[in-house]
Amino acid sequence: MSTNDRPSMNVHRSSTPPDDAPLESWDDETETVPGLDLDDPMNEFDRVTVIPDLPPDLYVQRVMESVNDSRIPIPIPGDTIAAITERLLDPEQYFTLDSRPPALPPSQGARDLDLELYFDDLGSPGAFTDAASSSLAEMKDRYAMGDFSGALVIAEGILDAHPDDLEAPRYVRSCREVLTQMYSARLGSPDQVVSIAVPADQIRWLTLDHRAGFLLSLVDDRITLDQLLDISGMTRLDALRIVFQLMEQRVIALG
Amino acid sequence: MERVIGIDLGTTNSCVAILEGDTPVVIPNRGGYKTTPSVVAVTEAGKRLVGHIAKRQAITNAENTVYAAKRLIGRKWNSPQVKNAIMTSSYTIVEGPHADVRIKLRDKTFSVPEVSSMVLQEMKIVAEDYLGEPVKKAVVTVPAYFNDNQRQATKDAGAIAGLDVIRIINEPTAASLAYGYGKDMDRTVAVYDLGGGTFDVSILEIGAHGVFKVISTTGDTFLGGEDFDARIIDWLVTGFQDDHGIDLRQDRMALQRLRDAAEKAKCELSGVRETEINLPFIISTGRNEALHLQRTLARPTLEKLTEDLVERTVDICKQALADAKLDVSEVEDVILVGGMTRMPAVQTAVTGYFGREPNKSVHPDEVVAMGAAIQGAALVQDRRDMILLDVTPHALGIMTFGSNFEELIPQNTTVPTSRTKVFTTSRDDQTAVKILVMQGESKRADENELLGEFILTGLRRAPKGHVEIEVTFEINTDGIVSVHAKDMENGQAQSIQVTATSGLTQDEIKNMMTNAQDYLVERRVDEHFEAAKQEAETLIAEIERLFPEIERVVGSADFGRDAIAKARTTVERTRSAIDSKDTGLVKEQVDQLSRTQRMFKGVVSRG
Repeated sequence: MSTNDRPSMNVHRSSTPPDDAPLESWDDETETVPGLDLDDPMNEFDRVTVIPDLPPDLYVQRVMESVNDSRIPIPIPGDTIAAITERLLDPEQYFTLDSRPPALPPSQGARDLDLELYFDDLGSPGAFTDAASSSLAEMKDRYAMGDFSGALVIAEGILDAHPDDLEAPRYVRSCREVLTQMYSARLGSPDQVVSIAVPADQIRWLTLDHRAGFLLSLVDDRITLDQLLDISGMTRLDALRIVFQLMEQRVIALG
Repeated sequence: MERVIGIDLGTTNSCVAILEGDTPVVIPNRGGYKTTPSVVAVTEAGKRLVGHIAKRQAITNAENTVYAAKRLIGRKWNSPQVKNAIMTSSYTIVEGPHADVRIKLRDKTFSVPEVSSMVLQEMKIVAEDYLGEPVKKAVVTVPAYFNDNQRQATKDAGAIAGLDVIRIINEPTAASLAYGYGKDMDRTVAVYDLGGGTFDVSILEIGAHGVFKVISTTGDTFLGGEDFDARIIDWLVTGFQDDHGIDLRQDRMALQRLRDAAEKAKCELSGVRETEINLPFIISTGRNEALHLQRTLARPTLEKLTEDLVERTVDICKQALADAKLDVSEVEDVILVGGMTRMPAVQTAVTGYFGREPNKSVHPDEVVAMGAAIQGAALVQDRRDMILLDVTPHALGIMTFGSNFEELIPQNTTVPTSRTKVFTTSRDDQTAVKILVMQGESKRADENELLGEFILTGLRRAPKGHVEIEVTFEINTDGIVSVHAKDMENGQAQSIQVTATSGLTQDEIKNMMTNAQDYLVERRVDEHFEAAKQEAETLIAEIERLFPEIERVVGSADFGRDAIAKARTTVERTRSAIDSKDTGLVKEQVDQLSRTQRMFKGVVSRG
């Protein structure tokens, strides 16, 4: 099947999270999250993002590499940042899929690496003049691209550094809600009983962290997913993320 | 006849029992456990957790998990026990509007009886699920040393939970009742109760015709199974620190796992000589790796770690016998209560001190609830040979000169009762006297509980000791204490009525009852919905599994296509009913799904 045959999706075209009733407006009968088909194994909605400490041009390239999935046109060697940006910011370009990269848009005269323009386009006036504004811009960028985990990491970083920031809390809240909804949808009914799917003597050979180890220790073949999340001692999102990873790794089973 | 449940409302665990025929039966909870932790928590999402599930997150959600509420029930805000709890509890204790104690959980504040009512409500639900009928009446046990306010607070907790607490009985009495059930005995017994958080020893006289008299009771409200667990945790933490240089106590998740593992290991070591504690991924190092904890704990090691705790219980036994003015040889039987008494070292210590093997005919975890159930059945069946007499749990009296306590009604006096004593003035020309009504066994007034006070004025001027004042204490059948003071010469009189109080007003109790009832209704609705949903989902899965086969067999026929279309519609409607959480509609759809499933199965079997 060519990607053109894929059903059209209800997409969120803004890099700004809605204020008060953010999620409901995105919902429709077939899809609860903008631009995402939850059954699509290619859909990597939860890329974990680390903010790299790189020169700006390399950084932008890295950003482009990290968003290189089936929804976003692959950058063509020699591409200008302006062109990449334009395509990146055009939802029609990256949410409507094609089997091959679309033709480059006509040059708009900005052939040099005008980073300030790039980030201005993202809606952050005077951006990239300091670390905070660049973080804000990247947060919005990732949010717009559907990289909610990445946006969340950045938004929380901004809040740590600037607790009075007005925008970051909205992004944190919205990203958390969206991610929680996504994981919940993938895991299914909260009433499913969680069980360990690997023999007890093999658990220690898995590659897990202590939080996953803690969740595993709570699984007793009677506990439901909902109860596990309740007593996890973590935020619901963190617990959902770990449970999802454990399920993906076939360490636990739900049923 | 109406069923009455017996509830052992423990500091760390609770248990519910009922008399089935002539046999007391302990009712297991949904998890299959016969005891339920007396732990209540509120999650981040505002959900209430009670019992095992609450205990399993007690450390990771420490600020919003209440344990050992029993230590606070019926206490006044300024009591030393409350001050101590404020210092040691992980949850927030605040002052209530009537100088009582409240507990803050998330954004709500609860009274202590309200928290205890959540545990009682859970026990009520366990019993109702087992019996398949509503339960309204209960006998609840309390420690023998509980005063009237603590007993009243326990009764209020029952009322909030929707239970009519028809009798409060002492825990050692309940244990003795279960122990002596069906036997006609006349003997002195010691009840050695080592629970999860408290230790009590009571010396009782069991007489003919159901007389159970608590001669002495003493204990330590901060000595129990949790202290044994703490020793194991210390041992594990120290070992891990030596091996890896990491203090596991700094991580809540690690500590929660250690606590669960320590308790499990302790229980296992009552049956086996050694046990392995295996906690993979106990902590992350920060270098992208997680460490495992794996150690073998042998019974002798545990005994060495907890030797002093066991010795402390023996010292308390000595104190209890001294209080009862009995020699150890006069104790004819020892009844063990509490899960900790399964520990072989404890049994050895008890045998060593009392010079006899403890009685093992009754289950230590269940005996108190069973005794309460026996008493409950006797009360509704009006079996006078087994009905315990209602007695005063503590002595009642007044404060006299020099801050002494003068007892008027001794401990264990059967109510209703009335006693009178004559006192004289302590100063020359004294024209007024303050009567401080107190409860307790101490000779020093300040060590007893103040129940109320009043002033008698208009005494004639005379040298000290010349004016006589008659003080009368009266307790009616409802436990209400009236104190009357009268100048014997001029007849001037004054009186006070003291009613035990939990610190809650009747309006508050009524509101809390409504809230508890609402919670119960909501929970029942959720349970009914979940049951219907599960049934529906099972049927849907079965029908969907049959679709291809049905299409193959009858799909080409008009009626077949029609049946398949109708089945698909039913499935869709059911899913929509589930989404909208409409229990009634889901149940209706379940009927249709059942018919569809039967029809499909019939078609497939013929095809």
